[in-house]
Amino acid sequence: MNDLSSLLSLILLTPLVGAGLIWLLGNKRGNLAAGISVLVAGVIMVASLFLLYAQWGGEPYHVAMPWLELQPFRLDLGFYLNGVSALMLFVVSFVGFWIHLFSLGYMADDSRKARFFGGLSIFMFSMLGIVLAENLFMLFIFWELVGFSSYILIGHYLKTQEAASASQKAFIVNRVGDFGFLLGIILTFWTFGTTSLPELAQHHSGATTAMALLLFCGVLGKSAQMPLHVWLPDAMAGPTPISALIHAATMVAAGVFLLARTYFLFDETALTVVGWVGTITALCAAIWAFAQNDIKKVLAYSTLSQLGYMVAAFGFGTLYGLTQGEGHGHGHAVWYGLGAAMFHLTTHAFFKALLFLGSGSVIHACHHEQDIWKMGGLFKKMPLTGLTFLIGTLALSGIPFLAGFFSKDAILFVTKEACFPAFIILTGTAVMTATYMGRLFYIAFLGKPRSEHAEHAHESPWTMVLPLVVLAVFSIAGGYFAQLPIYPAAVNEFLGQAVPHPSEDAEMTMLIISLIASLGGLALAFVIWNPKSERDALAAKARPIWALSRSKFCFDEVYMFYVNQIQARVAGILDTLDSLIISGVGTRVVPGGIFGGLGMFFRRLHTGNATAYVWWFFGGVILFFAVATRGFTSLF
Amino acid sequence: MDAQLQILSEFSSSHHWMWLWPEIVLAALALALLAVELLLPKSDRWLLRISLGAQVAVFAALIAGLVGGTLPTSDVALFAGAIQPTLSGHLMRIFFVGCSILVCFLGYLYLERRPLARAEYYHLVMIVTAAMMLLAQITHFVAFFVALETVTIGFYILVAYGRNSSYSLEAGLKYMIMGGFSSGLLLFGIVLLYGAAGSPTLIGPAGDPFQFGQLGAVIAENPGNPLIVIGALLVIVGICFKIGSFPFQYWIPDVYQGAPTPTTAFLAVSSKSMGFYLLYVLLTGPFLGLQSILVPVIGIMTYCTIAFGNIAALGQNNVKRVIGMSGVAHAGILLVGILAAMRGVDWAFQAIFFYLITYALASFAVFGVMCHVAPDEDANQEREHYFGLMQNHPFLGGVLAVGLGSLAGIPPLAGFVAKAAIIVAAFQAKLYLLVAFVLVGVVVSIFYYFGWLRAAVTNPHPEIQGEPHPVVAPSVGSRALLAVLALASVVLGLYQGGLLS
Amino acid sequence: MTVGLFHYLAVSGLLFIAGVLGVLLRRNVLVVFMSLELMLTASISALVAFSRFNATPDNPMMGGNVFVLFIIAIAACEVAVGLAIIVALWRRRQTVDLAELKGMKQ
Repeated sequence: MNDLSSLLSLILLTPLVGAGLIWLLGNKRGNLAAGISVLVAGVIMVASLFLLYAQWGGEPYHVAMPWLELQPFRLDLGFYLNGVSALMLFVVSFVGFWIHLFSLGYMADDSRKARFFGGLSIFMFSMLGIVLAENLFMLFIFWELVGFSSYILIGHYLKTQEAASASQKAFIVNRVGDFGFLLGIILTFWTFGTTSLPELAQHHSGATTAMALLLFCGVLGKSAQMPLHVWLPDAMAGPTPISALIHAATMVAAGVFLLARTYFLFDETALTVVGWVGTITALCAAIWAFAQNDIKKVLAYSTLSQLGYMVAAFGFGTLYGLTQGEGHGHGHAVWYGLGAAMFHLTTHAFFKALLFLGSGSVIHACHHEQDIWKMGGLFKKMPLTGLTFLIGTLALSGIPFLAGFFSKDAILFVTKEACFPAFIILTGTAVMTATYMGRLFYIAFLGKPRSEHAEHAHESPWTMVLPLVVLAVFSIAGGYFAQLPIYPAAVNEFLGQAVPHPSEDAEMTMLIISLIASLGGLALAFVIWNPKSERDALAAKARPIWALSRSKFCFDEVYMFYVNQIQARVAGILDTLDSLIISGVGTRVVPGGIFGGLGMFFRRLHTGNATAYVWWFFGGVILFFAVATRGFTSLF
Repeated sequence: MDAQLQILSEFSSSHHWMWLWPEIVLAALALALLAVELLLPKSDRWLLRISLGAQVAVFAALIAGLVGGTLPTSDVALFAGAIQPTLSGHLMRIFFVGCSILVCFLGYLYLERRPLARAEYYHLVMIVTAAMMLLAQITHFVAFFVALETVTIGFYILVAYGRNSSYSLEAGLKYMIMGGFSSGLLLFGIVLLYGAAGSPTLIGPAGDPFQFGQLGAVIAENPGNPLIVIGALLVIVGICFKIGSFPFQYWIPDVYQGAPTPTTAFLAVSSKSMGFYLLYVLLTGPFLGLQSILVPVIGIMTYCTIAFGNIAALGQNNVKRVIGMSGVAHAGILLVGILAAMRGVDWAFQAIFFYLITYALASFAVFGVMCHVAPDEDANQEREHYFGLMQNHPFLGGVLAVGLGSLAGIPPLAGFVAKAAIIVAAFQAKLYLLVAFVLVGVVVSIFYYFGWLRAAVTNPHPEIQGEPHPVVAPSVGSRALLAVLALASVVLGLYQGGLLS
Repeated sequence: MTVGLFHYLAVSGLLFIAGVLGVLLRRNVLVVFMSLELMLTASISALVAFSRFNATPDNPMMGGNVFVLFIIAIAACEVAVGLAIIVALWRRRQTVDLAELKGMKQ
């Protein structure tokens, strides 16, 4: 135990202790629970920053202790800190704290505060566990734990049926993905005899496409990639800070983080698949975002789309680094994919958390009104929220010199080099991103108030505004890791090595493309959705496009068909078998009916009284003897 | 006559009696409790304090002795070969005392709300525990049967303890008929073994065929003798009844449901653990010579037990029946450990013992919650009663979640490590198919445990399900105890100490 | 004809089978209970017979005979407890018919 490992233990265990305390205090002490939870988040942030600034020098750090030793099997618990996890630790602890602070204001009147903040602390614990986990198995445990805490928190508003079914949906869809993930882990263990990440990084020859794609299944579920994306928009039924923390900034990004942690297991085929899945997700989600009227739903589809960007960045970036980057698969070129993905993950965490918190502030001010067509004119009523929301919008749209510009730039660059069709799609998506974000901003913040609530909205308390301001600063400055000490030195250095950078000429081209895409998108939105309009112009004038976007390509319908028609039938058959077997074997009583035909003898057995049990017992003895003595033959 | 004198002097040697001090203390205390109730009429809390205090003292002393390493754990037979102190037996003794403490506490929670006799409950639990502790060390069939019947008859009363509930009485009657039947078979098996092994017509007949060591020697010489085979199989049937393995599990749902909750816990944990230890001792001891007959039949029994327990638990709604049927599935997994032991995996006992500990901790946590949620009619504990538990009583909900999670084997809880240990042991014993089967069973088990937990997480709709079921708020004492149990399930999952080595 | 071990065992076996059949076939709890005792009696008689016939001059095989005393004591305990339960049940249900005792089924 040296300083680093004890510090890491402190970071990991503080939220667990906090959650335990909240649990012990019970449901009544909501304010105390909130205080504990925010304090815990503060401790995590301070400890993480201290660790990253003062303790850790940038060398990969790895410590493990045996957890379960059953020769020849061994499972370890431990920490593995490298550039990727250091960056993620920074994001989780930093963004996490500000969202905790925001929740203090947002959830002030909630009747089930203790449960909410307890869940938040559990979430922080599980998320930090994923970030620091030394091996895949440990990572999987925490992976399931974040799923569990997300399940609990989505279902926070128990009164609404929507929240209940959303949490169920998230749970089931994630199980599908995790099943593949678990198989992938088992396959990894089977092949290499270990799941330790630093050991795998050393010896990974023998990795197969199947292994990589099975691991990718986990990413499909957690990062909501197609076709397992359906749960994320529904998860917006949870409280808004949860949407910001779990369903935008950190947990859904855990899939991307997993990719970055295991990048060396992916071969070219797998990378191509990964890249295209990300690209298609980015495109489709951007299309669907147009027809959403719920402020959080727009942001949710935007999150889906940006996650698609990250996954595509990983796929195509690594492909680029392996095949044609400087050094062809050597040096830092293999990091290009994870560098671009993690960079975008970071900037996205800042501006998307900002946008969600901003929407939370708006929803709070409008008395839980989420329909943007009932807002309007909020910029004047809530100047700070409006200004920060604008910064977030611009950053997400990729306006040059804000954080989102740099990270999106890196992604478009590697995609252009690795796969031109995907580059075209992603550039088109960038235009659409600017468009739907413009639409959101114009309608919600500009024009005139369209409802009573919007008329009387006013600025939120400081606990909610301060996080907005801080995140807005990072949404602007987050891209300048090369110029400013915006991140801890070691993280800055890692980003400098890993993030691909276009050459001088290409840089100009990329700048122009980005500028056109973002400004063009915003302008297009202004043309279509004039801030003064009362109704959705797209729905009114271009009904087919709107309907297509609104349909979300019928994924939900197909799944529901499957669940209702096919699964329900299978379940029906199972149910019949179930009652046959269970009742038949004797713990349940089948009065006459099914077994009636077998006559008096069987009916006697099934009357459920003690005599029947003795009969069964006696039959069991005979059976036992028959098996033991091979049909009584060995007795003679 | 010299031989008899020697036996007498051995029997009266104080050194031998000293070894049994924990059993003697428990039994004496059990009697003292009856007197206490006579002398102090309003002594509810005192009864609990005396019985708990004394048992905790015994428990602590045994643990201290174990840690200090001063125990005569050498393989010296006591009482003319009737008792053989072994380390494994000693561990089981400590285990039984620990369980007894928890049962007494649950008993207090149960009795507190009901107009039933008090002192007798603790009295019986302690007497039965003392008998189990003896059983863990006995190597002689006379003592074996007497101690086993002390346990069984004690359980008849404990199951039927809720005299004002016809369910409890009915369960008691059913358990008595089934238990009497199995005891009859067991006794007949012992008699056949005695007759066969003592027969001068065999190779090297035993001087005292009741003694495990001598019996084992005869069986090893004459493994094909039909009387010996029938006798051994009957003895195993009698024990399999206690552990509730297929096809001897019919009594379990009804008896578990009808019995008072603390008794159900006692049956599910102590009685089952005792059965497993006896099975382990017999199968790796005197019946070692019958390997070729017993390994296949117990193997098949294991498959059936896992399959039956898991499938049957899926269809239950009464949580006591769920616990009962899932207990059958746990018995199946423990049987895998027994099989591994029979096939010579030397650390199989550690795996079994660790499994029993984690099973006990998790079960008692769950039973503790059940005691608080149970309605007045203790037998009717439906899953619906748990609606809204997580919201209204987060503490109980949390303990329930940890307990069920550990029973289901969710990492990183203790139950996961225990299952992993058994699976690895089975892997080493080359029982590959069985390993796969256990894994499937574990996956199925998650469904019914999760179904229960889901009820606790679900909030009831007042219009549909009515008001939430009234739950007794846990006192400080039960909070502390449940927290310790839940915490132990977590800690043992992360750190096993020397328990697995 | 001399009466040997086999004859005793045959009687014991018949007693045992009678006991088993009684438990299996009778519905009156009291009779079932008596049948359970009959199974124990079968064991007792076999035990005594084994003790007697397996004895050799240097090994009197008294263990079996001693065991019989223990079994009788245990049987007495079982009866005491059993009858108490039956009486209590009769008070609540007014029946000793096993077929009518099925309050717990799902």
